[in-house]
Amino acid sequence: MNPIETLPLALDIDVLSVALGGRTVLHGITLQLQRGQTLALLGPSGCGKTTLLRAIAGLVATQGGQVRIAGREVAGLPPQARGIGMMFQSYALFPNLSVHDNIAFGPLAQGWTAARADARTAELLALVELSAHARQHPAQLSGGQRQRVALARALAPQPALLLMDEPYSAIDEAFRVPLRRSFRALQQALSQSCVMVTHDREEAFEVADQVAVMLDGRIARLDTPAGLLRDPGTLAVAQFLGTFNVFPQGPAAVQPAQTASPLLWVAPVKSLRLADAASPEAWCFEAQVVARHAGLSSTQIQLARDDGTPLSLIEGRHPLTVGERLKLAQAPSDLVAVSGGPGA
Amino acid sequence: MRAAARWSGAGLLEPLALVLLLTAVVAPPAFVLLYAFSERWDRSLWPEGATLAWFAELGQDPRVAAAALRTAVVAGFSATLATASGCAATLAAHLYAPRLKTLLDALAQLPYAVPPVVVAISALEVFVGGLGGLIDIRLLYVLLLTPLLFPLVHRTLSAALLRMELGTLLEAGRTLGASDALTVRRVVLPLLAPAIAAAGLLCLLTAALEFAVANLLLGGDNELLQPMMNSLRATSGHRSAALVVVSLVLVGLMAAAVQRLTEGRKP
Repeated sequence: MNPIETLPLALDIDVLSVALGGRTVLHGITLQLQRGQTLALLGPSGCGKTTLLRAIAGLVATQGGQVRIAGREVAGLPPQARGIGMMFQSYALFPNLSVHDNIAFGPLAQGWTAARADARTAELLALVELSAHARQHPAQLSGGQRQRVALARALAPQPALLLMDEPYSAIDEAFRVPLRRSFRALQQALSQSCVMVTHDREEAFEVADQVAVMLDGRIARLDTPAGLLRDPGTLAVAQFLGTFNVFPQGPAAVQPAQTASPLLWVAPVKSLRLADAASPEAWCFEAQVVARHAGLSSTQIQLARDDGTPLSLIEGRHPLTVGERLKLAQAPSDLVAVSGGPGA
Repeated sequence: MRAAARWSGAGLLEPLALVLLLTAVVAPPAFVLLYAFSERWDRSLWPEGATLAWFAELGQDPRVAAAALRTAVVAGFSATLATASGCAATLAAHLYAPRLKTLLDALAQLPYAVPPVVVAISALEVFVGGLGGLIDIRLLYVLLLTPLLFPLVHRTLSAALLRMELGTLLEAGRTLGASDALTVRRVVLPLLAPAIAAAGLLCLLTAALEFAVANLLLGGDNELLQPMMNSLRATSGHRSAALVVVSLVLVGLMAAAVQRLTEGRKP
């Protein structure tokens, strides 16, 4: 048995409910996170992901359910006693304190000796490559540097669980990707358990070991990134992820064995291809190019089948033109059946 | 069309209004300034002879020095009391009691709704007439002035607290294991220091310039500078003007200090 499996879960939430202003905003949330892993709470604005993060932190009151962090029930505890570190969307750095003092604030507040807090601060400053900026104040730093200070400050008291609320949303796109990649490397090196809120699908799929897609205050789907990309579970999740083609009816010859009575079929966009001589006829159908959407790394082709069903296709090496009629092939092994509702 | 508008009455109205406004605001202090620096201004339309004699006389007048000292003490006490109590109440309201904040917002309107003369006459009736001798008149003045100064503290601090996103800072402190008291002491109060200093200076300025209540409540041995400026006019308008000029310079310096403490500063 893997020794990590004998340790308690980093986070174990059981049927958690939260109401704000008399309205229930989180409904029976249940999820688990293994130690050393990162969970991304992914969803559109207003779906409750930040509220869930704040409930884990103890910053909002819960109406029911259990929250265990590293095996310890924390539902009735204040944030100070939960063993968490939190990175806020705005970073919430203390503007009157230097970078060094911001990072040392948590350890000192928790009663560490000054020498131990200093040593920990120096270690983290080196880790986030900000040793040269230790005496500067947050206002003197760039956005990316402030983000790293916030990360170091949250990690300083050695929390059992790191909570991050949209940590990269305030950073320019060009800096976001390298920053999140360096965070991922750091998180894995430290085996730091982490829950991250994001509405950025790319970010969630790149950084997280588990992705919880939240819709309307519920966990609509919790899976690994690869699992989600293979099977979104519901139509709402597939539509939110935006990486699936929806087939109201599977091609007559295409009936995956695992689906008893599917309502709808979905398949990853990247699995749809132009038919060629080797494509079995049963997999094929025709559609017309409606629009081309050029992107940095690929061009997405918007298609319409004869019955009006919209589809997407990743353009290959040969450019396609609007109005062109295409013969396409969809492998049945990539089709999965999904239910029609978000909570189903 | 533009040319027509330029020559119409509407085109002239703006500069005319501006000139009138500037005249109304600038002319009185300008005349007082001229009066303070002139030997006499009673024989023609123009002042005669430049002099600093009125200022020199002021410096040698023990009545002025005593009134200035009393004003500084009374204004200092009032400003300190108003700043300390106002800071505590406003901070507590922002931290823990949104309802208290609503109440304080309403209380901050009250001094503008009740004229100072009404406050002074009521105080005279109750504490000097009805309960005469029960309380020192100077202390009574300080206690009356403190609530009149409260809006300055409450508004200045509330604006600073809203700018600093107090709630997020406290939450950050909590997730780091700090008590709210520690975060307030190490982070919030240092960030608020310029706003507290500005509020204190504003209170000091307002208390030192208060006339209506001081004129009714304090006289004789307790005379303050503002009522004295008014009474000096009877004996020497030039000396009164010189005192006004000195007051204006001090007010200007303090206003500049307040501006310096508050402008463009994110706490």
